[in-house]
Amino acid sequence: MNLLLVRYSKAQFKIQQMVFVIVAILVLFGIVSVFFVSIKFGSLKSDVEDLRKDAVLTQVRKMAGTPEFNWIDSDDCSSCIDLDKVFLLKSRNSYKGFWQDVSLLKISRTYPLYDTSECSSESYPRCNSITLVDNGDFEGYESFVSLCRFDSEIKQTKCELGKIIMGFEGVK
Amino acid sequence: MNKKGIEFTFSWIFAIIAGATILVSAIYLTTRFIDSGRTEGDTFIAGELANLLNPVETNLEDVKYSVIDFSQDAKIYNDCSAEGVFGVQKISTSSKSGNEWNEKSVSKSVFNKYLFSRNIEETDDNKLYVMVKPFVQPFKIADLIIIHGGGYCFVNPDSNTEEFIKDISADLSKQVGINISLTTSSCPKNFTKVCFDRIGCDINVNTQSEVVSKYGKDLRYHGDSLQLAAIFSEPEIYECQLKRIMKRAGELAVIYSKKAIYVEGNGCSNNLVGDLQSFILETNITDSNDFSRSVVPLAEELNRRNSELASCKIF
Repeated sequence: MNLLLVRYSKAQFKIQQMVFVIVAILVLFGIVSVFFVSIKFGSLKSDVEDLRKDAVLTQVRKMAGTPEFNWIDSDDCSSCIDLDKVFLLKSRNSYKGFWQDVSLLKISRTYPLYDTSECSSESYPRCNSITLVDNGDFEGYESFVSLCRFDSEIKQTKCELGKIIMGFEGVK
Repeated sequence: MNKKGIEFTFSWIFAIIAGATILVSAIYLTTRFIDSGRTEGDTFIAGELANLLNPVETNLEDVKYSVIDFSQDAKIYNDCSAEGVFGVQKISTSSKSGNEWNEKSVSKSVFNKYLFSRNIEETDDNKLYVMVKPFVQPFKIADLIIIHGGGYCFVNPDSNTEEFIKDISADLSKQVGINISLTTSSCPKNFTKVCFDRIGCDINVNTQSEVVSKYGKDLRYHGDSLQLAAIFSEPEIYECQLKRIMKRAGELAVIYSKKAIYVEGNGCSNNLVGDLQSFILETNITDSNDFSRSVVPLAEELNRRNSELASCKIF
């Protein structure tokens, strides 16, 4: 049986040493980069959430004036919502995604309250809420409004107390 | 013979090459991080700008005016696309670092805003002027958000426009980025001159035929809000936003026609369904000529018929 003896030169040993040092430096750089990126993405997440929250806060106060919600122009009521329009809007698929970064958009009656919660074509107008957007997992903000519609029983406009609830979606 | 010299062993060469590679990569990565940090900052400015435009939207007001102060000079990129159900408004920004402009940020897309401006609007001394006017044709369709960086001279404007500028500038005591002048020669140099019912300016407005002529193109308008929008915006932006607004008008008209049917069923007669359905068909416009030719007469007729209704108004 032959035994082979391998002899390493001094230069080869030094190269090995150098490679180990470089690998160690690169690993250190990697760990620092991962740490830096995680901190940066953490602050980015909270910044995006702040932006979405601002968007909802500024919109909820203005929602009653938007063309999809506003009441008849000639009545000069800035906080009145056209409940008929909002109910009909619910069935419009074209409005899906129209209000961006909003995970909840709901019109809710405050007084008087009826037995049926969510409005449907059978229960409307004797129901309590119309949900236009509900993607779950949200932080909600409210604004009080008047919910107006033509009442067939009294044959004139009837306004009741309600609120707009808007929620923004957090960053996952 | 003296053989003195520097001994350059392999380990030295290896260390220099490896060290240089690590150093260059570190510098490259840092530069990239700084660049992406700037783009990130500008993207947030674009998002904040979109949010800042929410409170200035109108409710029952005829006009709203505001000045947005930026911490440094900025360029606002206005991109409009009429594709899709409502089209899309894209806002991006770029701020100044030293004497150089940063790269254009990632754009913020919104479906319910209509920005009228040049393609790239630059702030004037860190200020951006914002005017918001509701667009009613025949019902409120949207708020027209007109943004500009100042440097406009209105020559002999019509009474409505003059009154509007005096109104927002508190009788010309506040700087609003618009000067009023009787002749073109009295306008400051480098200002964009806007002539009303005369020619010879950068932008010429014919209030009789409701046309704004700029860059060799004629933009048709109807009403004060669209007149201002046409004056301050790039022709392509104006045409695109008008198409988007008409798409929303069509969607709103569908809701109003359903409401007309619903309230009619509840004993509130209005006879507006037919007119609203004709209006819906005309809202798919190709340009502003199409708008003034087909939409305006129908909208006026609808407005007249709705006004005549006593207690059963639809809009």
